[in-house]
Formats: sequence, structure tokens, C-alpha cells
Amino acid sequence: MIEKMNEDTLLLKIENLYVEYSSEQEKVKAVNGVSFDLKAGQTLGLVGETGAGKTSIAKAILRILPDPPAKITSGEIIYEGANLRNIPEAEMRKIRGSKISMIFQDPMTALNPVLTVGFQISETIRIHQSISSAEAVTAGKKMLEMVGIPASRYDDYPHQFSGGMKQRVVIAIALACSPSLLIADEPTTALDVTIQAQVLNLIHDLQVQKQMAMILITHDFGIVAESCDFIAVIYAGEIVEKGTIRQVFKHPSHPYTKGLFGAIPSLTGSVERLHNIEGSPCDPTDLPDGCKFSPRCQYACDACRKKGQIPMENLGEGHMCRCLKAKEFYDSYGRR
Amino acid sequence: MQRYIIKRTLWLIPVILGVAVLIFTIMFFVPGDPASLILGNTATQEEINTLRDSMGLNDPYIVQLGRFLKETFLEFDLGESYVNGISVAESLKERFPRTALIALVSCLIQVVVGIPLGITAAVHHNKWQDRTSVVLAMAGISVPNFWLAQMMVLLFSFKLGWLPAFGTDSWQSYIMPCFCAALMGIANELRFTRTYMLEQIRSDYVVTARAKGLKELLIRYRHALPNTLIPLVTGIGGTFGAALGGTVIIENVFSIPGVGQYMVNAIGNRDYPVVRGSVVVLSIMFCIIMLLVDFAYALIDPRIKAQYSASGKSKRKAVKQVG
Repeated sequence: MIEKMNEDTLLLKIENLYVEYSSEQEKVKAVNGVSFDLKAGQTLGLVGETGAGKTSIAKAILRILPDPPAKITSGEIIYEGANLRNIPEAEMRKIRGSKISMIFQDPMTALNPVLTVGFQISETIRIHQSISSAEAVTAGKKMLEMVGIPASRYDDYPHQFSGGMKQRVVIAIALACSPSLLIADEPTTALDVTIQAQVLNLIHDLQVQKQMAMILITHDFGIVAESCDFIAVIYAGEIVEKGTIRQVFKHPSHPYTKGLFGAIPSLTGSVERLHNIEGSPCDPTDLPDGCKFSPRCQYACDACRKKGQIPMENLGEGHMCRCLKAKEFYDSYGRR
Repeated sequence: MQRYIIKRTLWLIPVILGVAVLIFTIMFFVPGDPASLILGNTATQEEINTLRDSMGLNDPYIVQLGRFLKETFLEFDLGESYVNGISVAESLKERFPRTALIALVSCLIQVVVGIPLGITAAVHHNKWQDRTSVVLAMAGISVPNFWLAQMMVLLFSFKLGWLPAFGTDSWQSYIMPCFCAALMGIANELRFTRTYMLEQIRSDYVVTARAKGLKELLIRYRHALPNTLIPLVTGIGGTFGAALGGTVIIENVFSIPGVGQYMVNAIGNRDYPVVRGSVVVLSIMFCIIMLLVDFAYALIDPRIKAQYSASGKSKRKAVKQVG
């Protein structure tokens, strides 16, 4: 166990994860062969458009995908050496909330309206640690104060809080048992910009304090640049490019990543219109052969449309890109 | 909260007065004459007129209405039946407990059977438990209860001889009426519970609860169920209130002298005091039940409670919320 907590050991390793949502008429391929790994204390940013499969990956890790219709069809999720796909549900429950926990996107609906926020926080502590209910209440109050809410509001209900404060409560629930991995699913999307910064700082401070690894799901490059060590860009359920922040921000090599960077408004230049990526995200029920991005890619050629997954190209030091022309783009299109 | 209770209770006064005026007006303008019904076909016009005079039926509408309201709400006198001269209050006192018993027991059956079945159906959505429940609910709604009542009498009274076919002599006589009255309610309760529960178990806070590592049973009963109770309580309150008015069919099939039968017979006989008196009493009951339902909301849902108690405390909290 002690070696596993070591900085160099993998905390989480995801291998070839596939998730499908099936209804009577069609199969939606939400996640298609995603692999990545994470060490203790590191932060990975998962970036992609709405519907790219980011949340499905997160929920697959915790095994809380709505089943039916969703199903993990293949792949491995290795957490601290154990494959989370194979362990019994009772074991999985012990991991959820105590070792791996999740912050949800919408704080407005993520809390139960008829239970006090204090109860919702201490509930997590109570089920994972064998302590008396009085101790759980104390611990719950401590968590509230840690996220910057006075302990006197322990007995208040979610409707008595503002959106930002609700998100703090959600964070307090997620961190109540000091997990080793935190999955933050767009923790700031539902909040306004000033509150966003507060919440991100809060998460970051707590992360440092508790030595947590984090998967930060977002579609905001700014947030990724600020809070992550690594980035994985997701398109149509595939990681199209991953690497350290520096690698990807300096040398975006996949046409999709480049397109995304191009769509960020610049404060210095005088641009009339923002660059946009032509076309719309592909239909997940009918994914194109070969490169999923090829229908929207101006550089696509016949080789890109051949059947089968495009392999990941190593551009050096772990900077991976799923593009046949990655090397070419890497050399010729350095950003800045 | 106290202010709210007082306010809501005061609101009952205009509602009940309104009901009283409405039922009086309807009965006043409905064709048919109690005097001629009492005297029968052989009576002469003169006899009828004399009787109408003595009953006060020849007075103008407004005078009759005033008299009715004064007697009912100031003197608390519901009058006597035109047909047999028995005091309406006495008759109701005698009949109401029977109807109330059936209403109460059948509502309990609905809740005890319908809600758990609905929850089972929802948590096993689209599995056999769900499909069976849905088929049962369909059957429960489709089977007319006069038919079911007769079939039950045939089976349990005549074939098996387990239960009395009619009357109110023993507690056994109430078994079949209560069950018959409950059947459709069970089906409704099941469908409502299933729908609301399905909505709740797909909601985000349930995912949060699951991500905390809670057991399914706790998720269902501690997190999802209280949220489904809010709409359910309304339904149950309404059903119970309506059941207090008596189930005419059930009371007729099982020959139970209850309120439903009393009122329907009175309407046929244009027995104004009985109809008006029963309606006023029942509307008071119904209002009280709906009032209790409203208070029950506040117990279940803190959001509603907060709306009710717009006192200094919650205002202070509202200010804090801005932070």
C-alpha cells in the first residue's frame, strides 16, 4: 500500500475504455477507446465540446453511469492496482465518496432539496467512517467552514443558498472523506465568472492541502491552463491529443485542437470574427470511419477516412496526437 | 408559520359560505317540487300550494337563501328531512361514521399497497416488476367497481360464505366495501408514485447520493421518496376528501346506510334540507383535509415551509444568501 501512495506509482490507469448508450433504435457510442493515466497529486484536464463523452468517462470511473441505457462495453479502469470494472458493487460503494469522489456540473440540482446541507455533507462521512453521529456533525461543520461557509448554516436547506454557495457545498460533500482522486465535472460552468475564480481557487487550495489527484472536466482552456498539469482533448469519444499543458498549448498538433485554440478570442489582436471549426460535431450514432474529425478537417485525405482507429502518434515526451499528419502540424504550426 | 395557519383557516369561511350559497342556488333552480313529491300524484294543486306555503317554498329566492344561511351558520341548525322529519344533523351523525370508516380504511389500503408497488415499479423500470405493476394498475382502473363488488359478493358471500354480503352488523361487513372502494385508488396511487419516483431517481441529486457511496435502499427511501411525497400527499388528500362524500355504488351494492346513499336519495326526493346540510358539512370536512394537506407539505418540503413563514428569521437568511 505504501508503495502505491508513492508519487511515481499510478493512481488511476484507464485503458481502452468504451462506453455505449443503447436504446431500441440505435447505439450511441459515447466513449471510444479512451486511455490515460494519472499519478497522485496530478491534475488532468479533459477538454472537449458538449457531448464529446467527458462526463461519461467520469461516471464510468465511478460506475454511476445510468444503466440502462449506458454500458461500459470494454476497457479497464485500474485504480490503486484494482480493476474497478470487476470489483463487487459493495466494494465499489466503499470507494465512491471516500477514495474517488465527484463534483457535479449543476449545483442547483445536485443537492437534495429536502435535506439540510449539513446532513448531506455528514452523511458521506458517516457511511465511510465508523464514527458517532455527533462526531459526523462536527466533521460536517468543519467541512462547511473549510469551503468558506459559516458552520451556523449547517441546518439550512439548499434553497437558502446561492448558486456559488451550493457549489461549495457540493465540493464539501466531495471532499468530506479526503479522497485521493477528485473528478470535477465542469465545476464552474453553472457559475458566473467571479464565483468561478473563487471556486477554482478553493478546489486548488484543497487539492494541495490534501494531495489529491484531480480530473478536471471543462470546455474552458483558460481553466485548464491555470489549474492542470496535463490535458487531454476529446472529440467524439476519443482522445485526439494529450500531453502536458506546455506541450499542447505550445504545439497544438491535432487540427481539432488547433481549431479550438483558434476559437479563443484574443485580447491583443483586432479580429472581426472568431475563427470557427466548420461543420458540427458528428452524430455519435453514426460515427465516420477512420478519423472522427475528418468530415470537418480541411487537411483530411483518403488515408484519414480508411476504416479503423487512427493510431496515436508520439510527438516526444508523452505528447500524443491522433492524427496521421501530426508530425507535420507539430513542426509547421507552432502557436506563438 | 402560525400566521399562515391562521390566514388559511380564515380563508375557509368564504369558501364554505360560497359552497352553501352555490348548493342552495342549484337546488333552488333545479326543476322538481318537494311538496308535490311528498303529496304524491293524487294531490290537487291547492293542496300542493298550501304545503309549499307552510314549508316556506313560496318565498322569494333571497328570503329563502337568507333563512337557510341564518339557520345553518348562526343557529347551527341543519333542519329536518322533508321526507321523514328526522333531523339532518342526527342522520349525518349516525351515517357519517360508516362512510368515514370506509373512506379511511380504503385510503389506508391505497397508501399501504399503492405506494410500495409504485416504488417497486419505478426502481425496476422496464423489468418484470414494473410491467406487472403497470398491468395491475391498468386492470384496477378498468374494472368497474359495481361489477367487482358483485363478483366479490358472489364469491366470498355466496360461494365461500366467508363474509356477509351486506349490512353493517360486524366489522367483517366492512372488508369487501373497503377493498372495493380502494381498488381504483390503489391503481391510481401506483401510477402516480411510479411516475414521480421515476422522475426523482433520474434526478441529479440521486446521482450525487450514489457518488457518495450510499446504498440503493438509502438512496431510495432517504433521498428520493421524500421528494415524491409532495405530489402524492395532494392526491391522497383529495381522494380521502372525496371518499368522505361516500361511494354511492359501494354503499348501494353492500346496502350500507352511509352519507352517499343519503344524499343521492335526498336529491331524488328534492329533500332540500338534507342535500344542503350534507353538502355544507362535507365541504367543511373537505376544506379541513385540504388544509391539513397544505400543512403536511410544509413538514415535507423545507422550501414550502420557508414560503409560509415569511417572518424575520427567513428574511435575515435571505440577506445572508447574497454573500
